[in-house]
Amino acid sequence: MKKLTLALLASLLVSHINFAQDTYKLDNLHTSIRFKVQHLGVALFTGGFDQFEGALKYNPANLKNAQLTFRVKVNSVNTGNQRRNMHLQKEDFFDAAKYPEMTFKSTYFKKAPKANKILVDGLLTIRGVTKNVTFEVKDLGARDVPNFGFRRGFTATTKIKRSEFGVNYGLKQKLLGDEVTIEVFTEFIKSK
Amino acid sequence: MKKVFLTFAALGLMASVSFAQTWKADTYHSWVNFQVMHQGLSFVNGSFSKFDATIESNNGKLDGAKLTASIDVSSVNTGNQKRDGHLQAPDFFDAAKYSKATFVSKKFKKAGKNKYKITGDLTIKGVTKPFTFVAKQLGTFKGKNGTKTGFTATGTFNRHDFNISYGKGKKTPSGAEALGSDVKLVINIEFASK
Repeated sequence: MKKLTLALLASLLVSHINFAQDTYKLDNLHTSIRFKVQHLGVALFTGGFDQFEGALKYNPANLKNAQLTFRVKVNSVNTGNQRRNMHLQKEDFFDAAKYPEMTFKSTYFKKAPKANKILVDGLLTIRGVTKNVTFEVKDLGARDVPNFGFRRGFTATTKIKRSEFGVNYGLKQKLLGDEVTIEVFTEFIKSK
Repeated sequence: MKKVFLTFAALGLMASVSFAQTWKADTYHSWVNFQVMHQGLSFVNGSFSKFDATIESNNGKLDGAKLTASIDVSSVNTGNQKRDGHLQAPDFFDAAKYSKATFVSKKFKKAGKNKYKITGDLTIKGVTKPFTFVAKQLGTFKGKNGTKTGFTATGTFNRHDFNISYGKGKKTPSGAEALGSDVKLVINIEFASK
């Protein structure tokens, strides 16, 4: 009987350990945050942000308690042209002086119907406006890479309407589309 | 008779002149991006900021046109200066020796609604191999400064075919390549014609 209790306790303990969230640090060098928006209805305007921070609490066996935060420095916007990067930081777009950061804070992780896909609901704040968005995330798995830590890879994508965040430049003239696709390619390293 | 013939010849000439069309890339509104898998876990993204491309058509149509493009490999940008420097070293592009990557089409064929298949010679690091882009034409815009049209073109090559062999054979314990062999090009490009 004692043995059985111990075995039960042990199995409880094991299962408890298995469901605990691991803490991960963002690997900035292997992460990119990109965006796409229609230009003149003929092509896709693309750019990215070079400076950001992120943190993750994650266990694929216990998704509902996972947590993700991202902070992006708006003045690191990069569209391959310095003058345009400056314009994007002005009031026409991000108003970086007043709103230096964009943030994402997850509220809920859940499995998506598609294999290896996760839906991450959260609060996206751009230019001081906070909206609920859902990222479709692909879990690319985990690997222990000698000298480079235990890491996890994800790609994530969502679509937002920039007008909802007060970024309206070129909408009326139909220069730039309203719908912006956000794509995140990221690796996280497990903290010891 | 001679006069009639000349008129015909002139008309013929005019027709050929008016149908020939040259499209130049609007590089301010174009992006050449690439993706490579890292540790089998995620994708490293990068881009080139200096490039040029021209489409020449004899009959005003894209079907059967000729595309030539050139990329300045020293303009590579992956969001990290140290890595960008490494990408220009002999481990990768060897930019000092091979400053340009080029593409010259041999076939520019319609492949469905607003879709084209562009096959030709891709040259990177001095090595030339056949390569195919699938290009989706997103739309056309007629403005007072001429006509613009844009595409999203994608294609994948194996970097080892072009002697970009850094990390070749290096694998993670689970068997994934430390740095993927496949490089996916994603080109969002606008062309302008006057």
